[in-house]
Amino acid sequence: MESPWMDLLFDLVLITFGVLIAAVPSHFYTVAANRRQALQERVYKVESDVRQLENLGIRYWLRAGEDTNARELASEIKRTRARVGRELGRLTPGAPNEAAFDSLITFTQAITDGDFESCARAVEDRTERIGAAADALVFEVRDYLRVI
Amino acid sequence: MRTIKMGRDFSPCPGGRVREDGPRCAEAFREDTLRPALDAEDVVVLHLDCAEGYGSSFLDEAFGGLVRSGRYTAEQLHRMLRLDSRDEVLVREIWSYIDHAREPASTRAG
Repeated sequence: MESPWMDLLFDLVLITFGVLIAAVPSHFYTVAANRRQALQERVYKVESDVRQLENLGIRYWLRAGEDTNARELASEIKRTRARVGRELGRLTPGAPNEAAFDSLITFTQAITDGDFESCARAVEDRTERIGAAADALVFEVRDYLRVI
Repeated sequence: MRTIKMGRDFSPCPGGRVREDGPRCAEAFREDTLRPALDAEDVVVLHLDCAEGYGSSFLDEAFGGLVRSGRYTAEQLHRMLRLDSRDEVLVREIWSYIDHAREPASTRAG
């Protein structure tokens, strides 16, 4: 003869088991969602820094070499570029994104090659070159979001 | 082995290509700091993170210039120079200047 307590105990075990089964995938989903959100925030931060660098670079090349403001801009450009490089490396540690790394080198060169920081530098409109390199880099950086 | 910390041994704000551009330029770094260290040691470790940042003009002149001057080949520099930075792209950029710099005709093989 079955005891009602045994039925209750059996139901409790079933419910607990069901909750566990539901909780495990939910946990993994939450972890993945949090990871994606964190990556998304870092990607947007890099993108924002790239756009800031683009703006600084265009402004820099519209000033002559002896302009003291240009020297301050050059320092800000170098600091921002260093930050972008470190952040880009942190997006996928241990698994470098070759295309993004190459795009950052091209972008850096668009802003800081040639007569960058030279006293003899003449005003030069690099808007198109810097803009195109920034767009290419942003495209590659956004590609990180497709990984997960 | 010698260790060079850019910010301590040269300048925390390196910039410019040639001496006319100022005392923190690439030519000064190459000729007064890096080349003497390479001449004296088998291996030189260069820590790059203790400076505010680098322009491509500085990097090309400092590192590509080592090869263009004929003093060192890219192969020798790969054996002798260790670049340390949290910015992996910076390190790649430097090696690209070393690898793509043209040696003077008199030092080229053949």
